[in-house]
Amino acid sequence: MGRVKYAVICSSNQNRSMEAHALLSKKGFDVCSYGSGNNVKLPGPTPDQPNVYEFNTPYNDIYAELASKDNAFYTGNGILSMLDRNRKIKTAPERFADAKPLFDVIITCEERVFDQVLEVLEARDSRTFRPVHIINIDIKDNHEEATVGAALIFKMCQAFDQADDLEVKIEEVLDEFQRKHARTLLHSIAFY
Amino acid sequence: MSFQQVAGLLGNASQEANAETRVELLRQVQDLILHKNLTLLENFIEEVLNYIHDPQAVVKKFVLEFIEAASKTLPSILPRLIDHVHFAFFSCQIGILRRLIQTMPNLYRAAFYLTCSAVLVSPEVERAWTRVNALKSSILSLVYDKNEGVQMLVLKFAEMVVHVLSHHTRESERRNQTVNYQPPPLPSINVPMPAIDDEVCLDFVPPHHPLLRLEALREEGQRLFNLLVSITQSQTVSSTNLTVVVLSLSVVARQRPMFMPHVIATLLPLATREGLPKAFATAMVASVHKLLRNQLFNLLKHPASTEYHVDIADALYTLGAKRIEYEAYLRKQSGSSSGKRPLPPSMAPLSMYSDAAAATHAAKRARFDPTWPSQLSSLFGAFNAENLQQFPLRLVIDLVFQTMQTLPDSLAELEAPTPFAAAPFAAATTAAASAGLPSLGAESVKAEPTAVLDPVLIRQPALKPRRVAPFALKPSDPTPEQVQGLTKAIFARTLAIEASAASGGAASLRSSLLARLLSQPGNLASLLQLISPSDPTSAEAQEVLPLEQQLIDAMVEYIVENVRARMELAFGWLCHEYLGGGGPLAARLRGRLPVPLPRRYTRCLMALLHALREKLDVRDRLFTRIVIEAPAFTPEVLDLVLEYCTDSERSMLGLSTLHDLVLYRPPLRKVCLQKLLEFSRSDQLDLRRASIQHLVKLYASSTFAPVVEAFALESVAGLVKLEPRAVAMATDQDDGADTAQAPREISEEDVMTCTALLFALCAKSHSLLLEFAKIYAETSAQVKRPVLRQIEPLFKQIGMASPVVLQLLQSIPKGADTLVHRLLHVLADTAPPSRAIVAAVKEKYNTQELDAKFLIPILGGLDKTEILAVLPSLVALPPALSKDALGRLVASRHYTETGLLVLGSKVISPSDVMLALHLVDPQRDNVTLPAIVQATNFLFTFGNIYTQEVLASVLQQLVDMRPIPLLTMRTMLKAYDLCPGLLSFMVTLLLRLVVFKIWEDKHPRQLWDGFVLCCERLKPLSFQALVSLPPAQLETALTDKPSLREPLTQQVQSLPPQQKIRISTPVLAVLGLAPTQAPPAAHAPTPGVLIASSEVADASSEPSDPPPTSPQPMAMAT
Repeated sequence: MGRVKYAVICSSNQNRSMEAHALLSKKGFDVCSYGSGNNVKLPGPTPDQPNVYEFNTPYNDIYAELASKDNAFYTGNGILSMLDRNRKIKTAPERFADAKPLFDVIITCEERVFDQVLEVLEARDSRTFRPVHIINIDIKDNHEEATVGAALIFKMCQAFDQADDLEVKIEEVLDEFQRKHARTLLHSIAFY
Repeated sequence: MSFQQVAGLLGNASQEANAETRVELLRQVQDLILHKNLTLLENFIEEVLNYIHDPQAVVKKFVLEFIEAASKTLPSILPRLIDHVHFAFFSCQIGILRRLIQTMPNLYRAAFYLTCSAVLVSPEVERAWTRVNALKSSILSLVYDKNEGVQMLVLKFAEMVVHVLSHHTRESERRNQTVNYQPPPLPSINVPMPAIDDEVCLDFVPPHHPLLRLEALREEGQRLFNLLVSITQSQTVSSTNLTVVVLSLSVVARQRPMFMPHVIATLLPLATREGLPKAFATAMVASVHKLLRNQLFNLLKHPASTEYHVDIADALYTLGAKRIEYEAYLRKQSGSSSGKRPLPPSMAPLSMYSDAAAATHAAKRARFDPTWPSQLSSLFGAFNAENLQQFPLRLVIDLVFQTMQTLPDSLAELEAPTPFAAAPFAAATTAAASAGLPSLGAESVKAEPTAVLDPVLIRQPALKPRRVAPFALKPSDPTPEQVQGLTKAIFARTLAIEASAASGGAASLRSSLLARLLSQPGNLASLLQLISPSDPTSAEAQEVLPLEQQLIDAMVEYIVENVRARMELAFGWLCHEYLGGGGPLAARLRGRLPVPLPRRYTRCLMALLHALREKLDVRDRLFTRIVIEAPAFTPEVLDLVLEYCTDSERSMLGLSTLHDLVLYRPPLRKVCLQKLLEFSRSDQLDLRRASIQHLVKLYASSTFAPVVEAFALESVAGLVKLEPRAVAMATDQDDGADTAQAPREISEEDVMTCTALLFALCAKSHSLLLEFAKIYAETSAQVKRPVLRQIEPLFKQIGMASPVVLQLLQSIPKGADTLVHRLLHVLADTAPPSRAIVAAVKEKYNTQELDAKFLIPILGGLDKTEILAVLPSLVALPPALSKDALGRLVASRHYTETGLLVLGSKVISPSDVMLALHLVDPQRDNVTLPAIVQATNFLFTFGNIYTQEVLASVLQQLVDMRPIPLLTMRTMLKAYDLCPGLLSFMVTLLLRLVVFKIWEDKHPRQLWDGFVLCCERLKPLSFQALVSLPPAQLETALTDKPSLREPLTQQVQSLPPQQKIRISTPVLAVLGLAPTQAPPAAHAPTPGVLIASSEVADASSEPSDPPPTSPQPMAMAT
């Protein structure tokens, strides 16, 4: 089969999916990243005052706004450096429901996102009958876990790329991955 | 321009060496000829299709993609495409085969669509249809292909074919909720096929089609559906492909509801681990179950699944869904479906008449607009009979009814020139009537149209008194009886339509209707009050209305009639009652205040439970389900549950309900757990056992373990502190007089009552035994004895391997040693003692914390020297214990037969034991001689072990010992008693003893006495030993046993001379015989007679006895 097309999806397309996106593109994978939520949420001064943005608001704009709001605070909690990393990868966070490309493998970062992605795919009509695997690996939404998670996702993608026939080997790959890394994965399938 | 463009692109493509770029160019061609300018297709299609022979797989795949797109865009072109597709099937590249299968759903749909649409089937179309079908069969035959990727696509294709080969129905789920389903327009060859969500299905097949047979196609669809079902039961399917099938079945069920029952029946078994292939890893099971859960929720949404809600809910619970989740889902569904579900047929035409959708929308908005009246009047200006038809009917109807409300009661008031009131109304009613509205209002308006319409008539005073019929549209004032009658009638009707409601998808609507009808006592009461306000029923209204009670009774009776099927109805009803009929709902939910439960709720719940009590089997768990799942729990219900517990028939059910309440109803946890605990001390055996079983289950949870444990320990502690009387708890509450009497014995039963729970827990958590030992140490002997008897099964459960045994050994509470002894004893009966235990006991024994009896159970773990070392202590134990110990040492064969103990014969032989016993020194080892004697006696009872050979070897060794053990002669006698065959062997031993000069040994007296006794017993053979004694000793012997003298003398006399010569003269002299005297032969008795007489003479003599005194006179006589 040709080159595997990957999508990495988290809730806001900021931390976990972008961390993995960064690593995978660096390693030369064909990868896109998305958010599954209704809008982009970033931590605010208190837990009940998050910064909320529409999807497709450029990372650059968010960066500028937060830097002007409280530069020290957002530097301290790593949000600004994250946004800085993100704007070097792509323009803006994207919503999965609006995604046009077709993927072979979609990796989600938490069960809720997995459910949302399945729902989006199921609501679409099956027109091409092209299968897509959806795999969930739980990653906590913080910088450290995102780094660990991205490394795991990279390992998984590496294993996929090494499989001569993804459709046949996928269960084997996932099974081995779970045993090796003591992670529980969810796996489902949908058709475009 | 485009033509050249396409030609140029194709030219470039043919020159292009790179396959990827070639595909890119061809893709541009595709875009131009399929999407931009369809007329070019004809010119270039062959050119593009020829690329199927391109050597590169990626190009071939592109051609398949092109074919798929072309057939979708223009089905009529399919006959020209199909040959190229067929070619791909035989490609040996798996990627191309997969791409082909992926193409198949669209190709098949296109072929089906094309064939349906051809009124006269041309040979090309027929050929295309045949070829596509052949290809379809070939591909479906790959459904069990080993390549899972291929199998996956085949399965998806099969799902597609099922969709095409079945009928669309009213209940088919549609992704875009458009207007009602209408039959498809006749397919036309030259228009693009409808997009995939616009159904292509059997409905397209025109009647009497020359090629397509509806029945055959439907059967084929059913077959393929069965194929999908069979995959779910396969043990070899991969989890990915099982996922695909589950998704497919779910979609099929929702789009083709006729398959719903079968799909549900197929999916539900998958909810358990056993329902899935054994080879699935845990994570795969989790993934499939998650998917299943989501899909079951999707199915719940569908109206065709209504009658399976109970089963689906059960499966969902198995999959870990919470009841709340399920109910929330149902609620959401019933909320949304009222908006989305197609209108019932009678309502449907309304919207279809309105051509101005915008106007309808405006009208709808207007209906809910509070500023309606003012808007209304401004609308009137626009009304007249001509333009009325242009308004949406719904708006007109609303207008008519609104106007009627503002009309005066009598015609006289209409005399005032109010044209805006009369004119539109008249116009509207006419319009309504002409639109065929079947309403009562319209009919009665029509009855007197002129009266209203003609302004001239209105002004005529002669007509003034005429009543205007349409204004009576307000409900007439019914009497309370009528209201009651109507309510009952509605209720009865709604009950009666169960089957039709279920089949029509209105089951949930019906159940909520019934619930509301029943659970709105407030409304009913206020309605009745409204009707007859004179009734001073303010206080009485709180009480049950007779009607209400009747309705409740009827409902209960109805539910109980078929309780399983009507469970959902029951819960729906109870929920409504719980929420107070919807009134205080908002308050209760918003404020989350502890609003008191409606009294009616309790009454309804209890009525239902009581009715079920009569109806259900005494073990039917449905009772539990209702109690657990009822919206709220009341003290009355708890009373009922407790009543069940104590009812011997229903106690199992009652207790398991109590158990479930503890688990699932946290607010009740404490009280229910306490009740359960109390039952565990009941004097009713069954009740106690069953409640203990439940408690043990609860004990596994860390939430309940401390409480249960504390209670168990406390009740055991009761054994120490309480007077015997108080031991038996609640049972004596009734007969208070009894307590005044003298305390009775603590019975076995009392002890069991107090310890049963702890013992049961102890089997799960062995460390409790340590706690128990502490308590046990303090109890009286009266309690200890029954405890020791009852604890045996527990010890067996705990087993040798449990670390608690060692822990207990290492710190035995003072006073609990009997418990430990019992423990060791029981364990040793089941398995050989472990090294650690043996070591621990030895250590304790050596430090003198434990006495020798503790060694008995672990004897099997000691080696020979150790056994020999402890033997004296064992012998010194009380007789029962020492016998037990010796039994274990020598009678090991008994244990080996059961394969449990291998002892004795391996480590120490029975003869060694016997010898060791003889070597026990009463002084040195602090053992009394009788104890040793008893021990040897005991050994002799094992006749099968101490056989003649064993005894011979023992005796031989004893005789060879120096000094000769004290009991040797006694043992010899005993051995002779057991084995008379030893006689001659013994005589040789006696001779040896003579040689060893036994009279000079360490214990001269005892041994000598024994020797003489032996000689007497073994006579006449023993005489040769006697005659070999030195004369002095012979003299002593004969003096000690005078009865020997005469037989001996006779024997010697009767000896033949050549033998007699060997007897020394001094000996003969002792016997009083002259050396030369010939023996009188006639006197010689046969040896047999001698022996027999000796046995009779002295059968019971004990070796330790003092020498008999009776022979003295006889000696004098001789």
